[in-house]
Amino acid sequence: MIIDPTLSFKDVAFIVCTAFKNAGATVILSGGGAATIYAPDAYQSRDLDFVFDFWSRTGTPEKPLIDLGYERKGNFYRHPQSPFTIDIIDTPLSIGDEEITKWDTLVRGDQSLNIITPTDCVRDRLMWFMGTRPDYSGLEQALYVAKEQSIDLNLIEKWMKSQGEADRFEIFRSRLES
Amino acid sequence: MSKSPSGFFGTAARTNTLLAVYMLGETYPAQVAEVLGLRVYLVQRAIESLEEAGMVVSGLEGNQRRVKINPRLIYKTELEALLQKMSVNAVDLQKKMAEYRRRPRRIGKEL
Repeated sequence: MIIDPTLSFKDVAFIVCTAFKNAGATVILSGGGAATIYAPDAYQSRDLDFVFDFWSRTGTPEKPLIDLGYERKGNFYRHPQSPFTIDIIDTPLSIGDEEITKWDTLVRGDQSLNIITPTDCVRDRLMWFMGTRPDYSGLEQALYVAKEQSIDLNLIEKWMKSQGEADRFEIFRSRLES
Repeated sequence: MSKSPSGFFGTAARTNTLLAVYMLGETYPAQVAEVLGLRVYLVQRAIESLEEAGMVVSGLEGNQRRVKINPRLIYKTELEALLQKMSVNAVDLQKKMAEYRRRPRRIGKEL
């Protein structure tokens, strides 16, 4: 597998995830990168945030990336032939305080991509819309994904209300239904 | 500027400023001005007026003046319920606010 400038964001995501799988590790795409996979026409991230599955958080985490030609630059990995940044996150996959233990796996030929579910992707983006200083870009990204994918709106409603964010859920729902 | 009941809290600038402050949680005059497409001095005047009425409070944080809904307002719950209704319909304003990334990028990530 070779990283070159013609590869799309999705191509790179598949290659990197598969490289880790071949090395015996499980990484899961999260963050804005997951939103880009689910709503590619609406939202374009330049960052691939991969989180290690618990049982993979040992050994030399970066070797599969180095073998692909990535170089460590500070906290991130960059490839001379790709515009996309890779971030490997060594904390549990979570949304707020809730640890996430289930995800989807997309398969393409002999490559695979572990990725948070569309519902969790929406929740992850909505996290930025919640709190005392809401980031409305999080709302827009959540909407992009929710309009393109099948999501569990009841779960999202219960979750946001449990976080004291019933009002912001109403904004999300109103926009989703418009 | 987003469609909201303009003049509901006096002038359109005053009403939209209050709505923007509510929607942004904590903000500062220049950000409100940019989101609303208004001159900063108009927003500052609106904030002063709203602060006199007790609806918002402002304070210096470093060299920036930050403003938010007054947490001690006796009818804060009712006011926020009204502003919440208005914000649900203020789709243009939501989209304008989305153009501002408010969360930090990790050090080293390009903007």
